[in-house]
Amino acid sequence: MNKDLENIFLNALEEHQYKLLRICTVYAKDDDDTKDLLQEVLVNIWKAMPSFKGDANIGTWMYRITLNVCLRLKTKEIGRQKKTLRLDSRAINIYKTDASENGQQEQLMQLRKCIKQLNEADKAVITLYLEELPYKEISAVTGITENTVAVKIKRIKNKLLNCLKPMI
Amino acid sequence: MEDELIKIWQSSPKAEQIKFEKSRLILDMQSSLDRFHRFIKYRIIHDQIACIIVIAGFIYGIYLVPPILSKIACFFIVLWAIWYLLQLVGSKKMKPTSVTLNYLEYLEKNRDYLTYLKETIIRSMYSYAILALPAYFLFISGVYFDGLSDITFFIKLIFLGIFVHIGAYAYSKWEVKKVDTYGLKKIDELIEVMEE
Repeated sequence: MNKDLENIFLNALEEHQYKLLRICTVYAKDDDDTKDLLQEVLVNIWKAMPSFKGDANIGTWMYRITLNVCLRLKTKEIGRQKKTLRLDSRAINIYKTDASENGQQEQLMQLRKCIKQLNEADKAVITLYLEELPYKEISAVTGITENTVAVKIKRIKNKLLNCLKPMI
Repeated sequence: MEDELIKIWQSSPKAEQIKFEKSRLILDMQSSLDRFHRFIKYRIIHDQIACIIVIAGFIYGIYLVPPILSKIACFFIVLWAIWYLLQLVGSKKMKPTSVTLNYLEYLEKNRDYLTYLKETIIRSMYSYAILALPAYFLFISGVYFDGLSDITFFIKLIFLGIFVHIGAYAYSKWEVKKVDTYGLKKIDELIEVMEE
């Protein structure tokens, strides 16, 4: 892969890493699974880089790969296989810092729990919405029409708000 | 209230951080397939090897085996094995490799692939019964009628063929069920939910 693509990849990664991680969390069972899943996502994005057309939004393109990989890899089957994406022999590390805002953390955990209860399709749509993607882009990533996206989001949001009601 | 959801969702980076070391990438990782895809992959490889052995063995048999009926049988078995091998090669082409499709397209491609696999298994099941098994009977008949085996051995070979066929049929049925249960059903459900 040429240097330009590598730079595009690394810059996009820097910009979107948290978003990709957040999407992975709802498809993963626990923190270790999230790490495995994210690694698999990054490997697939890296492998697909030569096919990336510069005219498309790289963020949307990355979300598309992320959702497809999350769908393909059932978390329980990733297991605890050790996978390493090496960056000059340095592994990717996902580490936790001290949770300073416990209340917010609790809400976040509850929100993730609620999202995990949704079906795979709804998970895909709502995670993109929560990443503040416009309906047009959600439609481009998922392949469903903008109207259907809007209807789905309204329905899922109600479900989530009901699920979170005791906390917010 | 609705913005609250986005706010909660995006609060996660404060608690979790990813550290990436920026440097030249060396990618040495092979993406592992899940158990189901491994099962399919090994089955295809196993059958391809079996086909190649059958083709080589029975082409040799056409020249080597003296009875004419057995030669004809060898020819049919070779034809069947070539046909099946081509089906297996075709299934590889159908496998969705691109993860850059949109979600719905990706699901549909996976559905097409699993449907093709299922149809290939069913076709192989029937082709075995229609072509390979009669060819096998023709082969042992040639051997028997040429006086190369006695009636007891001939009958044993007939039963062996029938039992192997029943075994292969049951195994294929189990595989079809597995494709249905583990793959097609779930994908169909997802597509249905997506299009709701």
